[in-house]
Amino acid sequence: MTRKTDTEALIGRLAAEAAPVRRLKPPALRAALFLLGAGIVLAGIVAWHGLNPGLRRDMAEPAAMMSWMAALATGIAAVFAAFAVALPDRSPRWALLPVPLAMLWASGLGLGCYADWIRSGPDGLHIGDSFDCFLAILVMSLLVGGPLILLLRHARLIRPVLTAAMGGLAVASLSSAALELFHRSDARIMDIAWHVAAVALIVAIGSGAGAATRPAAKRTA
Amino acid sequence: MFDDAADERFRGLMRAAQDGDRAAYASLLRELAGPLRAFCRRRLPTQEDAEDTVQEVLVTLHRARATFDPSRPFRPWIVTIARRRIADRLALIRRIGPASEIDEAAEVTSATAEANTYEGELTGEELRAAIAALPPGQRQALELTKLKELSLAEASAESGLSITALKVATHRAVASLKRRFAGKKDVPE
Repeated sequence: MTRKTDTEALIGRLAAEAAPVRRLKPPALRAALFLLGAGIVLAGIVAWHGLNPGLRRDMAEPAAMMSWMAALATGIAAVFAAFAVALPDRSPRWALLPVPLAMLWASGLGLGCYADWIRSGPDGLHIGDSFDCFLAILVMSLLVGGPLILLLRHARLIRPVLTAAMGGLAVASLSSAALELFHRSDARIMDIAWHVAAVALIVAIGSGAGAATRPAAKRTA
Repeated sequence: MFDDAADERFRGLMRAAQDGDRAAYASLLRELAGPLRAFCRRRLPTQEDAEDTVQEVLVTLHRARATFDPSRPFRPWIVTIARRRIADRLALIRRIGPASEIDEAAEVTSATAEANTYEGELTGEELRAAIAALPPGQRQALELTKLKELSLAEASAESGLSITALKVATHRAVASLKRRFAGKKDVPE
């Protein structure tokens, strides 16, 4: 059968071109190194803008503090999950790691919306400066997302969509947490809506890009 | 897919392959092809689909070989890769049917003399315009396999596309040209 001969020929070709490769470091170590780098970049952006003057007062509210911590923890967990699910021999269930934290974060945001609605009613629903939040999260996500794509590029052969979704969630939630530090937020509904929209958009872009890089997608060329 | 003793052996071969031992790598791929073939055959409708998928799995193994950690078992690593490529193949089958049907379609259009008879009935200009209007992937496949008369393996090496991808793209390109010239006489079926 010609196909079997093809397989034999393929094996010969692959073996002939098999240069030594450097094994990837353990995923937890790679995730920690990425977080260190992303932390430096985001801290630089926060320092450049200057801390939000009302930060101490905002964070004195337990709900706001919890929501911020949950965003940060979601980002960290999603980074570890992304580096794990990118490898064939790690369980895809790693993707569940950030889920409870993301739910905690979402519930904090929901509470913020509710409080704003009680305070301002429909008057709170204007776009105003909130769109800046959206843009800032997008730009920061792109900055830290670029290197992440490089570090996770081998995942396109394995679990491109899940890895990209985790990566998207990671950079968007880290960026959202960083933004809170320099952007004055009264937890208004529109601010929160734009945060959520930015995170959702980045996760969607990540997943879509992941799907497009799947080797199978080439067949539709 | 294979037992613990084989796992231990494959792990050692993979470690050597990562360090650049080509003989160990060739042994690994050859010894793995059998179990992979059986694994794929159980999950795919035709022998042809299974064999194509074995090739895709081997290529993925090759590209992803830096991701293997020799301190961990080999089986979960290769099984995930095999499952991914089987899922891709099943998706392909849902879209365009099993491999044997693709091959039949490809064979119909594989004789270059036949391909040239288009020019007898249509003007070269019309055909060139029609080819230029194809999506880039289809145009590339058609140019490599029909116009430059490369074999599928050569075309695959030149374009970096898998053999299956080339077959499918060529098949689609020819189907699209046929549709375009459906009103014209003597276009070979």
